[in-house]
Amino acid sequence: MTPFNVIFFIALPYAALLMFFVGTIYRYKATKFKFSSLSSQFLETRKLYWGSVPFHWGILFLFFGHLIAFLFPSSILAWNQQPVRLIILEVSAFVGGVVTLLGLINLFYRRLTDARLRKVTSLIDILLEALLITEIFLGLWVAFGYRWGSSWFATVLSPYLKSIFTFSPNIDAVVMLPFIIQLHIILAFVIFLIIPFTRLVHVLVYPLSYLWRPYQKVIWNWDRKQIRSTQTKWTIHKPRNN
Amino acid sequence: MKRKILLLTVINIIVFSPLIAQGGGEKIFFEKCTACHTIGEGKRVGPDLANVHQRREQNWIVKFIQSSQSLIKSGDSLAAAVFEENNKVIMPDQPLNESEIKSVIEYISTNSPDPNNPNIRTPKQIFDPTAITQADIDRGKKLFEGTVKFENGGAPCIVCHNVQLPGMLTGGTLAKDLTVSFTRLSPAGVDGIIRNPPFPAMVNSFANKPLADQEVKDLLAFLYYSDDWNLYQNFSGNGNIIFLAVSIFGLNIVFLFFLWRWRKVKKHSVNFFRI
Repeated sequence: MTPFNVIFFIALPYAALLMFFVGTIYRYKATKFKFSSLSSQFLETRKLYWGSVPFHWGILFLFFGHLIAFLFPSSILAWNQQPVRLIILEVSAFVGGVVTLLGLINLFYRRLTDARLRKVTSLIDILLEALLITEIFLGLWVAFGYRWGSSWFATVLSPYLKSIFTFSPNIDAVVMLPFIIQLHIILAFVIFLIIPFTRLVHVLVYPLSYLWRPYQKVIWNWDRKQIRSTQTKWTIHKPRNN
Repeated sequence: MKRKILLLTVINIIVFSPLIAQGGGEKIFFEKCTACHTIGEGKRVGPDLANVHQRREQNWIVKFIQSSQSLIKSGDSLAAAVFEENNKVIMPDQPLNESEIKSVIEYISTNSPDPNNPNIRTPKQIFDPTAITQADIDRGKKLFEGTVKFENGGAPCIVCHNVQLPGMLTGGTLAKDLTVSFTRLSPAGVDGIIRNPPFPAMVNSFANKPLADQEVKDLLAFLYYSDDWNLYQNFSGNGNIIFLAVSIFGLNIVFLFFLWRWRKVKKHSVNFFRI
């Protein structure tokens, strides 16, 4: 148990958890209206689609994959019992990672090059995106370089994470892992640590109520055919549809 | 102020006492050492430790146990010689403090050779290549792959280990490749590690789920077969290439899905339409 291991595999996760809970609750109470991702979409659907959509599909898939492996490790081992099922799981997870990485690189490029976006970009946004890109890249490295991650996550990392959450940290196995895997774990804790200060808080206020909210019927109270083309001057009346 | 410091000290002692508590030498020896070492029962993966306290300085033993590789790298010729003598198998660093190691040394010294001890398994009792059958090998293969579960529910070997054989799924690359484990570790060494794993990741998987005696024998048979097969033939799998190829195929499917969804995405603002 070197100081390095104690700091990064015992102290850091607790610091991250504490900061995550205290920070997010404080921020929600203090600045409720800023508890969002501060949407930057503005007449640029085309540009955003190929970044945001792959990234969000991918990251959700990966997040829940990690969560299931943590909560139900034996279910993963049972699934992986047949080699074909193991390959299906591993390939899907790897593809999920690549999709997420490509989406995020697209988003990062857009954030850095779009002059209008630069105005609303803070330093922590850049830091967060850089951290996420590194984390996902390391994840892919682990998946490819240290097979079969889905299985050994269940036998090596689930017990470790469980020991953290039950306040009886056991880091014997984690300290023996290859450095790349350790780095992936450490960065994950760092990301959790800075969540309260970033736009990532929006994952906590996902509008789930939309799922069971009644439909809203929108009625346009004007004749669509009378609206002029944007190239010509309006003649009948000034369009007022938004 | 003084009372607060006192209180803090007491709390700290209570919190940290489990961390610095001494483990009994016997318990530690059985948990950490028996996979590779014996006391007077001959060499396994590592040397016989009988009377080691008479052969080596205590400080040297402490350093070697804590990190044999660091000791070797520091230029200690004795440590390097031990490493050479034992087929260059790296002894894993043991997270033990000095007092724990001293308790182990004490345990070894009090239990060192008793020439009249009859409880010694001969190498032939551990593994006898002439006694194994094809059925043993097949069962061992299935246990290794996980298609047949271990009786007590331990994780299959393929999770972390690879064995290079045709017709077998390429195995995990987190831990050592076991294709020629018999040559590297000797039957007694493999047997010792399987029965009493010294590596923390294996302890996680098998501490409360020990393998049945027959399961160990089947695995030994399979590993012997793999070792033997690879002695005369060389099979290099192409797991990485297949994995990448299937992944690229999957990636295409996912992006086709996004392309299909793109058709339905509203591309312009509400009152923008061309005539």
